[in-house]
Amino acid sequence: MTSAEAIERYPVPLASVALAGAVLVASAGDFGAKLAVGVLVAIVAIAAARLLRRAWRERLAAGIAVILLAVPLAGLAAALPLSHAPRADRWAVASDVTVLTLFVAAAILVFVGGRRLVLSRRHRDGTPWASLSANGRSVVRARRAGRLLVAAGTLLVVAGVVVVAVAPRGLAGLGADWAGVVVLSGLAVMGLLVAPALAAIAIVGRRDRRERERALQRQVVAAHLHDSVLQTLALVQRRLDDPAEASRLIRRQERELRDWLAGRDPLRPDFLAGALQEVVDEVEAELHVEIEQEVLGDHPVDSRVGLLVDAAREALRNAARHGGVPIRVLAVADGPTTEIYIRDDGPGFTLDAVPVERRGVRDAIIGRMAAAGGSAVIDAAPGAGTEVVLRLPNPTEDGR
Amino acid sequence: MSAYRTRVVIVDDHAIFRAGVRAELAAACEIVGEAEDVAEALTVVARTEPDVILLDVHLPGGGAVAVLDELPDGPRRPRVLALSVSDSADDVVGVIRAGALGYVTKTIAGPELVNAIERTREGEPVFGPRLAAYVLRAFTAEEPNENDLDRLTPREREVLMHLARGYAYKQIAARLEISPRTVESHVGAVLRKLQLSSRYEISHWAARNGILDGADATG
Repeated sequence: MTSAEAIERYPVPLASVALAGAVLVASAGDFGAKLAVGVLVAIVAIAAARLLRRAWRERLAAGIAVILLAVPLAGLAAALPLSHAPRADRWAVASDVTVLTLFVAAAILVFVGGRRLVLSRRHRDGTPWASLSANGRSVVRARRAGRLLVAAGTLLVVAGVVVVAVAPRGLAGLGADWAGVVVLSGLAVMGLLVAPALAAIAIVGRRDRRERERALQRQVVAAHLHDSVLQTLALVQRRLDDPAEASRLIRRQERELRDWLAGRDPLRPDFLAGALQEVVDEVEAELHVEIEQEVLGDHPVDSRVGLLVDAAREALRNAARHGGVPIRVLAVADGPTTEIYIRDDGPGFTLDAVPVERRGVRDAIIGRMAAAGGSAVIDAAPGAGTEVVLRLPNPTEDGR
Repeated sequence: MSAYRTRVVIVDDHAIFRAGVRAELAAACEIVGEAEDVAEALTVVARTEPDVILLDVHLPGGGAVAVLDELPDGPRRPRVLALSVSDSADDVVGVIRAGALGYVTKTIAGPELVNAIERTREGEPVFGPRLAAYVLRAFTAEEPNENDLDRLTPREREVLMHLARGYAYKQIAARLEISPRTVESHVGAVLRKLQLSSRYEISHWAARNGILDGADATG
């Protein structure tokens, strides 16, 4: 294992060892030695407990019991031979080391347990997909483990306080000049252990958020595809007996998917392009034809533009009934006059030969445009198709 | 049917689509090669020297524009017909600017595709209604500019409008009382205007012409 991997895998123990060394150097005295021993013992004891836990097939409670027993015992065992002091003082040194070990171990357990709780929360409600894919039992186990570890850490703190209380010299026995060192070292230990924990929580939180956002996007995409493409595919499969209808469904879906992929806003029916699109869809559905539409520019629909759109609908129906495919609509709405060209490739006709019923439709178109203050021209010649041109002057801004 | 069979290379990253096009063109054209990315396309084209490249706009390795940029200049340069499912204006106008002679959508019917390939071989721009509408949109949205390359003449605009309305070259010629050759030369002029301004970045060009969001961008 490279040192980088080691740091990645065991950040807390390594950091603790580094801290132990640092404190040792900094205080360069009795207390530093005691604390360093405490840190090392706590880490070794916890590592041993984890190994034992694994040997006992992941029995967490057993592991914690081992830690609770082993930590103070190991602290004592490590401290007793360490001291060069007279026999009476050895117990005092041992109790100091044990107290420090307990606190260090408590901090480690609280950190590990807290991290488990955070991780289990992430599994539980981190992302909808994670919560779907996560095994429910493993989540519950992780949460239980986290709580147990935190509880064990708390117990160790209590144990430490008890030892201090019953120790022959108590806290005062550590010596007046020690108090500051103890407090500072304690803060340093907690800082080094708590800071990574807080950082971990922050990082995990950010990752959670990102994952949640990503999952949300996925859900939006999934929901959209479900409501649109999948529905259409299902519809198409059921309409295979009606190729015209199936093809209409496919083309409408294609158009919608393109708009969505391109991030274009859905067309608004209160604007010309959207209103025209609705009309195109309507005529395509009603008469089973293909209509290609392009719109240059756009503007809101008012009552006059509404008449224009109605006239366009009539012209499209006319083309669909009597003309030939393809039918093409070009709307030009970026100039002083809005123009809609509706063209089919039908046989074309001369005005003299207009059938009576077609004349009626034509009148409806021309009449509407006249009412709107515009004009309609039917441009048809044999062999050149038919084109209906609708023109509507836009009101100028100052109302002239 | 003419005796000569147009030699075509199909460049598309979808094998199924290539197979479909190959089947549709088999009777009318000679498919001399296929490629699925930019590098392969250039190799195949150099080896086979086709008349026409049927070029998908979206290709791994740089897209159709990368192929167009690397094609040899001069008389041996094959003519390119762009083919795409995309209807994004900057994609389409981008390949035209890079030198494609025309653009058709992938939903085009077989006989129409054959016809478009023949016209491309002849050097005639294949300017469908949709492409005409894109180009119109590109030129229309633009602010008045002193550069002639950025403006369409009234006649060019009229021709483009007719193309967008779905008229064929001959019909446009009859309606405007000009010769079909003149219609073609107007379309060619529009193409050149698009292509000559290719020294600009595409996005810059698109933004300046209001294709992208920044319709108000100054250029």
